[in-house]
Amino acid sequence: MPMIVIYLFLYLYIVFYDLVPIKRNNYNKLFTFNLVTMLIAFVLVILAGFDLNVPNPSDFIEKIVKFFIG
Amino acid sequence: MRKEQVSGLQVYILIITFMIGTTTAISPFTKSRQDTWISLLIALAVTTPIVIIYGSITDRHPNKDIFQIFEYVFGKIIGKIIGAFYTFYFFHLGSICIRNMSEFIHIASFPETPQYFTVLFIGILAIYILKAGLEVMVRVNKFIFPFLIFVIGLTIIFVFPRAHITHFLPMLENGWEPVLKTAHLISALPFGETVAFLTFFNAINEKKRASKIYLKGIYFGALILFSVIVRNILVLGPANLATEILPSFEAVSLINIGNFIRGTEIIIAIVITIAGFIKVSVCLLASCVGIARLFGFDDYKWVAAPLALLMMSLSFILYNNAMRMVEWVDIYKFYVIPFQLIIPIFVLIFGGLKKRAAN
Repeated sequence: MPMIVIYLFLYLYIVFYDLVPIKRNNYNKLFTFNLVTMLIAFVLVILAGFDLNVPNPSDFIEKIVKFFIG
Repeated sequence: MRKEQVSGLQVYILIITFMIGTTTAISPFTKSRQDTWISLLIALAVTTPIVIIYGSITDRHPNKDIFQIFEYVFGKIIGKIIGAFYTFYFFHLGSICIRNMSEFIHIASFPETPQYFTVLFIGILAIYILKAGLEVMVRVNKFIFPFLIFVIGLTIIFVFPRAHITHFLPMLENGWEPVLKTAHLISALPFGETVAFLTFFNAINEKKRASKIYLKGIYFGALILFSVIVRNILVLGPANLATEILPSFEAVSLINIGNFIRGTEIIIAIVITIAGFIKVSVCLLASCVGIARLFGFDDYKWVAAPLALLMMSLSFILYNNAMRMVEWVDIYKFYVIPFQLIIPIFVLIFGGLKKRAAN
């Protein structure tokens, strides 16, 4: 829980100082990309904060490597 | 937007710090124990032609970063697909580095502090330095580099009273297999990861050959790694090396000069943290450049903050614990083969053929 609160402040700071000026200057593609990326990142923070098991790319890469090298 | 320009010297120093990065923190080179120095020399010999390939790619396509080179060589669609894979690789590497650093700080210095706190500060600093730009990053690195080298040199000198030359024996105790496996790992882990520099080698404002800059950086970095490995072997010995995941930290903690100079492991922890932070910044820069090229953004700095946040979040979920992180290097050394070896060779061959056909 404290992790989520601390990271929320960081995310709000970045939204205020980074995303808002981008939107104001009408860089819509950039704004969309940044917003989606930050949303995904925040969801991962919440899941990690509640100690939930999240599928991660390392396990997927391990399966692919073991498929090729045995 | 003004094009960023850096000198060859700044980049070659950055390569050295990048190589010191997380390699001296959590060292996965435990299998070959007292023969790790042989593994390093073999890895250096194997990596030299690979690094020459990286340099040749940049020399043949000046003023282009690796993502632009992919599009030129393979065409727009396939070039973008390969660029996407490389962007993911640099991004994943950055997350791994962040996790390495936070685990190191957690184990060595702040066992009671939650790791998300150290990750937070690494991430904030990485965003700050990316927003400042490549020129600032290389200047900061050039400024702190003498301090890093001085401290590493000092620890090597101070640890000499604890050194036992017999720790090198018996040589090749377990045969060549662990030596060659560790050589493969070393060629992948600090040496091959310098492929990330292809994303900004086009910023060098000198006419020097890129292969020369690359080779200088790799060899000097290898010299420092060699000194560190030899120091660890001399002080810790094969039995301790097999069980330690922080060999540098452990070796330096044994320094005791007249009961006066003691507890110097905190200085090496600072050096490792700074070098690791530079490595994270380079990986973040490489992935930002990749995203900017993929999506057609004018400047990579606009995506630095969200990508850094995503990198930090990914670092939380990568591994369950430190031992899993150390074990994963056995997968890592195969996973990176396409990125560090196969695709660069194809780029060199097909790029050369395309240029010849164009001429």
